[in-house]
This record gives sequence, structure tokens and C-alpha cells, in this order.
Amino acid sequence: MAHSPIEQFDVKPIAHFEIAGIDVSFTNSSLWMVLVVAFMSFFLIWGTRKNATVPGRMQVMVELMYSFIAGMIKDNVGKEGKQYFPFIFTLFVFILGLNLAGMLPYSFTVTSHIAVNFAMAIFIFLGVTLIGFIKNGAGYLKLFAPSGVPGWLLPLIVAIEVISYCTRPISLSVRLFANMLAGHIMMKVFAGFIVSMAAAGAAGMLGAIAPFAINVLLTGLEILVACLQAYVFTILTCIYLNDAMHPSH
Amino acid sequence: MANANTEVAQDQGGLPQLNVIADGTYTNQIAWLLLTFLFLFFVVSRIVLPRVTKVLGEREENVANNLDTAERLKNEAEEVKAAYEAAVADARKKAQEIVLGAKDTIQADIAKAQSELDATLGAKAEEAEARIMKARDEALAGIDTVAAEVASEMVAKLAGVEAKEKTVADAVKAALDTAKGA
Repeated sequence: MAHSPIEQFDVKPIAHFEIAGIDVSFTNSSLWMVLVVAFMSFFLIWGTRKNATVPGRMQVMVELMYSFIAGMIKDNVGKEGKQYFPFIFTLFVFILGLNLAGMLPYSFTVTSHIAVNFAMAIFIFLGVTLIGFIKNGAGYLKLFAPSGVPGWLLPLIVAIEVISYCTRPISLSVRLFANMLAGHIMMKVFAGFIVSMAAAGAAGMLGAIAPFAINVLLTGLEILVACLQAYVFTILTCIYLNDAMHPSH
Repeated sequence: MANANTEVAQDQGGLPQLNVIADGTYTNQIAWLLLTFLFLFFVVSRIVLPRVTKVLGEREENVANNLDTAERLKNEAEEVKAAYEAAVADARKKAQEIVLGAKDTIQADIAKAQSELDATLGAKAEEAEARIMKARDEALAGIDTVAAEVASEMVAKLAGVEAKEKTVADAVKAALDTAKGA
């Protein structure tokens, strides 16, 4: 199992800690979370240090991210979504950073772990549900009964809506988890092909060009997927928030 | 024994992600997720977003101000241009008036000088004419006597006849009248 394509997902403790009997060890996963957050904080703070009216390159990047997320919230949630801007922005930056950090050789992809993704998704799910009931009271339940549905169809629709609502945290977290997992496994498998073919002599070395070329393309694709999944996770959070703000379909 | 071995192998195999509850790493993943996410959230909400909001607002204000200033300066420039054009038109009109006035004055002066000159010349010409007429009349008046004297002298010399003054004078007069009539 030395070169197993799933070995990259092993969580290896670096320093062991325990608080109240709960394992909170510093692991390779924690290391990469800390590195990404440190890098992103540095990038965001350093980029805006001058805060100039005519921005520099770094500041333009930060401002672009700002406008991107601000636009996403405005389009999907509306003006009331503004108070959740810091959370949405952090979410996007966090997931994007972790996804992209996973593309570095020898790194660990934190978002390829369902535990992390599910924790984020369930937090969003509970938060959105809470906001929905606080803002609309029992009116939030209208979300499950779309207007204009014939009476005899209503029980079925309500059942479907309730199930789809409750599976949101699962779909949200599994989507990110599966995308990161599949991409990284594929890259490792093709990388394994290169090594084993190249070990088989001159003809094998020549033949290893094919998986190598595929891996180059896969790397590009995975960078795209890393950005795309960060975007998808964020925009779905916005859409859920929109449901909580305006429950009537 | 074989059964136990396979079970252990299955425990270790499979996706590590799906063993997080069995191997207990989910607690540390979630704990560090909370810690790092909260840290990033703090950085974003307390430092980064206020800064970017501020700078974007300032930029918008700045651009609006610059546009206002540009608009104001443009209006001022147009006012100045209109004033300049009015001044130029005014000056041109005045210059034309001055030129026309000068022309009229000069023409009047010329006409006056001309008429004075004409009058002087006319008077002088008339005077000269009168003088000439007078001289002619005098000459014509004198010619009778002279002609009579010449005629009596010629008669005396040629015919040896002492002609009477009266006769000679009449003859001369008759001859002169004939000549004049011719």
C-alpha cells in the first residue's frame, strides 16, 4: 500500500493534544488549514495595506474578490444579504485556498475530507434554518409548499421539498468532497502509471509520455475544479440564504 | 485467525475519509476547522472588508468629484470662450465703425479741398479771360487810328495826295468792316 492513490488522504498526527478527552491533535490536515489561513490572511492584509485610491496589483486582486462575492450576494440574496457578506467572503476564500493548496505536490487536501466539509455544511444548514425561522417565523414553512400547486399534489410536493431541504447539508458537503477526492485519485493513478511504465524499460519510458500528458491536462482541470467547487459551495450557500430571506418561491 | 486478519485489513483499507469516526480524526479536523475558520473570519470581517469598503467608497467619491470638477471647468471654459468671442465681435464692429468714420471724414476733406481749388481756379480763369478781352478790345480800338494813319501816309507817299482825315478814316472803317464781315 506504499503507493496507494488514497494514501494522500491519510490524516497523520504531528503533535498530540487532547482537550476534555477530545482528540484535537495537530495533524497534516491542521497544518494545511493553518498554512492556507495564514497565507490568505497575509494576502488579504498585505494587498490592502496601502488602501490606495489607485490600487496596486495585490489590491486589485483583493478588490476583485470583494466585488465578485459582493455581486454574488447581491444577485442571489439581495440587499438584505449584505450582513452575511463577511461570512460568505470568508467561506469562499477558505475553501478556494484549501482546494488550491491541495494542488501543491506533497500537500494535503483538507476539503477532500467529508468530516470538514460536512461540518461546514451542517453549520450553514443549521444557520440558514435558524435565520429562516427568525426572519419569517412559521411562515418559513411556506418554503415546503410552493404556491400554485394543486391540492391533491401538495402532500407529495411537501414530502419531496422536506427531503430535498434536509439533504442539503449532505449534497453540499459530498459534492465538494467527491470532486476533490476523484480528481486527486485520478492524478495519483496516472502518476502511478508514469512510474510503473517508466520502470519497465525504454519502450515503457516512451509509453509513459501518454499518462504524463494526461496528468498535465488533469492538473489544469483540477485547478479549474478547485476554483469551481469553491464557487459552487459559496453560491449554494447564497441560494440557501435567499430561501431563508424570501421563503415564498 | 484468517478471519481476524481480513477484518484488520479492511479496517486499515478503504478511504481514510470514511474511517474518520473509527480512527477518531474527525474531532481534530473539526476543531482545527473551527479555529482556522474563525481566525480567517476575524481577519476578513475586522480588517480586510472594512478597508476594501472604505477604499471603494473613496474611489467612487473621488471619481464623482473629478467628474464634477471637470464639468465645472468645462462650463467655465465655455463662459470664457463666449466672453472672448463677444469681445472679438465688439472690437471688430468698433474697428469697422472707425474705418468708416475715417473714410467719410477723408472724403469730405477731399471734396472740400477740391471745390475750393475749383473755385480759385475758376476765378483766376475768369480774371485772365477778362484781361485778355480787355487787351483785345483795346487793341481793336487802336487799330482804326493806326490803319488810318498808315493809309494817309501811304496815300501821301504813293499818290502825293494829301487826303482829308475824315475821308481816310471812313475808307479805313469801310475796309475794316468788310474785312470783319468777311
